[in-house]
Amino acid sequence: MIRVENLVYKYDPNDTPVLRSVNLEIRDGEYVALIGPNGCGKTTLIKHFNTLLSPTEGDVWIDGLNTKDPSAVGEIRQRVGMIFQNPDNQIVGMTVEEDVSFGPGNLNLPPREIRQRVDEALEAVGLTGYAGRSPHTLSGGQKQLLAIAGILAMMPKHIALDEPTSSLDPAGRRSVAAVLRKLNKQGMTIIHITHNVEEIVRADRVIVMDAGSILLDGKPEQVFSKVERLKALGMGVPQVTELMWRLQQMGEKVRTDILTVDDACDEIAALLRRIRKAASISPGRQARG
Amino acid sequence: MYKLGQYTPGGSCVHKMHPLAKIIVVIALSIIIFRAGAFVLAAVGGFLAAIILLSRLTVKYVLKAIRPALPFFALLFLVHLFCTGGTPIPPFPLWHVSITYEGLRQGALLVWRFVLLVLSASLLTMVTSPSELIIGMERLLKPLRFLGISSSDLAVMLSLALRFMPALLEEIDRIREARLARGADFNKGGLLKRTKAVTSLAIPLTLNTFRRAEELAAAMEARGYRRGPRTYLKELTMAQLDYIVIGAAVIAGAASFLFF
Ligand SMILES: Nc1ncnc2c1ncn2[C@@H]1O[C@H](COP(=O)(O)OP(=O)(O)OP(=O)(O)O)[C@@H](O)[C@H]1O
Ligand SMILES: [Mg+2]
Repeated sequence: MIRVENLVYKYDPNDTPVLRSVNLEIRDGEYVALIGPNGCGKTTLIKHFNTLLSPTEGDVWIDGLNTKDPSAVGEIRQRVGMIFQNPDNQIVGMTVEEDVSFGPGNLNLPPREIRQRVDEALEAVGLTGYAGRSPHTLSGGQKQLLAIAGILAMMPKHIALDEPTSSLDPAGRRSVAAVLRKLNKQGMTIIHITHNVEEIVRADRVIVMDAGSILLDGKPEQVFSKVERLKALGMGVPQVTELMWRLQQMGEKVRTDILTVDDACDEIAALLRRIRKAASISPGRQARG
Repeated sequence: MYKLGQYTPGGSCVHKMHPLAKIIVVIALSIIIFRAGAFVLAAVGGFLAAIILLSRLTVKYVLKAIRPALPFFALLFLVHLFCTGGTPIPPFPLWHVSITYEGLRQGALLVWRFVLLVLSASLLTMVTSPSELIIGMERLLKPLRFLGISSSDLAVMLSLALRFMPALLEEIDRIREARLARGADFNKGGLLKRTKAVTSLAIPLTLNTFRRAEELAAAMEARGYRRGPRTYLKELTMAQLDYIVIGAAVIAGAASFLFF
């Protein structure tokens, strides 16, 4: 479990804080989408999860370990894996398998166990056939999968990803999303910073940040039904949600906590049925009266 | 793209030898090459030829490694040919110019030395993968820990340098193209103007490199990197042959250093 208590963070002691008293609890196995406008402090927040940053005030606890405790740093870094935006700057090895072996090598594991972990990690992301390749010959999506494999070889319980798919094409994005979903099914906690609506919709929970604090926190349907507030932040909502919202604005009685085309279709069909029913009843009334 | 001394994977006994042994052999060879006379130098040539055959490389492929250095070799040879005193070769001296038997001999010998040196270094990188080379360097530098220098830190630095070299070159190209797109011309104007145009590449490159380094450092830390000893995917063990080769190389190197 990741617990954040009254977290305040300043990059510079004289500046205004980038995080203003954030409180947050993420349970094991949750899939959390962290969203918010540029510069609102998302990256700063997740960098606290594996001690890349240390709180100015407040505490961050990972499975009961305080990130301020110097003796816990190694353990915490092993528990929380971190993926960054640019895959190129996370790859350290000269071959794919060597890169995956970097983390286990830092743990001073014996070569036999490193080999086993490397093979499993590459298998999990579907890069088994690329073990001997030079990383710069991979596509962007494959590079990001490689970065994920490098983290998996550390056998973390939680993975925090900072816009991992922002430089990928739809196919690369899909393959990363599929791997993340599979890992989450196996019980891994996923904290995923993204601006991509499709990716947010699939999360268990969406956290919206603005200007260093948490603004909204809940299931995707709940969060996205607050269309006005999201729009005020300059953030997009799924097109179908916006459609339902506009219908509601026009005075129709429809739900707005709708994220998928299927649900929207059902809701609109129900609306049409109601209209038709009303239309078939009222002429009858007129005839009688 | 052909790169100088690029690693060519293979299963030969030379490929399989421990990188430390190979590095020590190359160091011993360099000492011998600069200390020995013509006779031994011929023998070193034979030795390298044998290694090329054993590693199942083609001679043509290996010789390509010397090509970029040819102008340097030619210059070296000519300087010695014309500037060494001694018995002139007829029909010289002509006017003030003369070439001598001694110059011919010395120039040829020196060029031959450099050829052997370049060959042995590029052979090393051809039959040893970069990561193995780094493990070898790490083992070689291990004694430095008595000076408080960690050889595994050096090894990580070295491998990062190798890993990021292509990325850096790509970046230079990108910046240059961005400049060209905005109307810069690197091939026009006087020397001063051109130098300025090229140095203007250096600033964004340096900034980008710092940003990259910062991100890389964060990613490495996130994967549990800390200074000090670490383990590797391929732990290479020394075979009996490796010990024999190292012993022979050390003896040969020391002998040529002391007695020639
Ligand atoms: N190293 C740093 N030094 C000083 N200020 C920083 C540093 N990194 C970020 N900031 C500032 O902190 C604020 C939050 O930055 P952060 O990177 O956490 O935002 P973000 O939500 O991840 O934004 P984005 O969506 O653009 O990635 C920004 O105002 C930024 O300028
Ligand atoms: Mg960010």
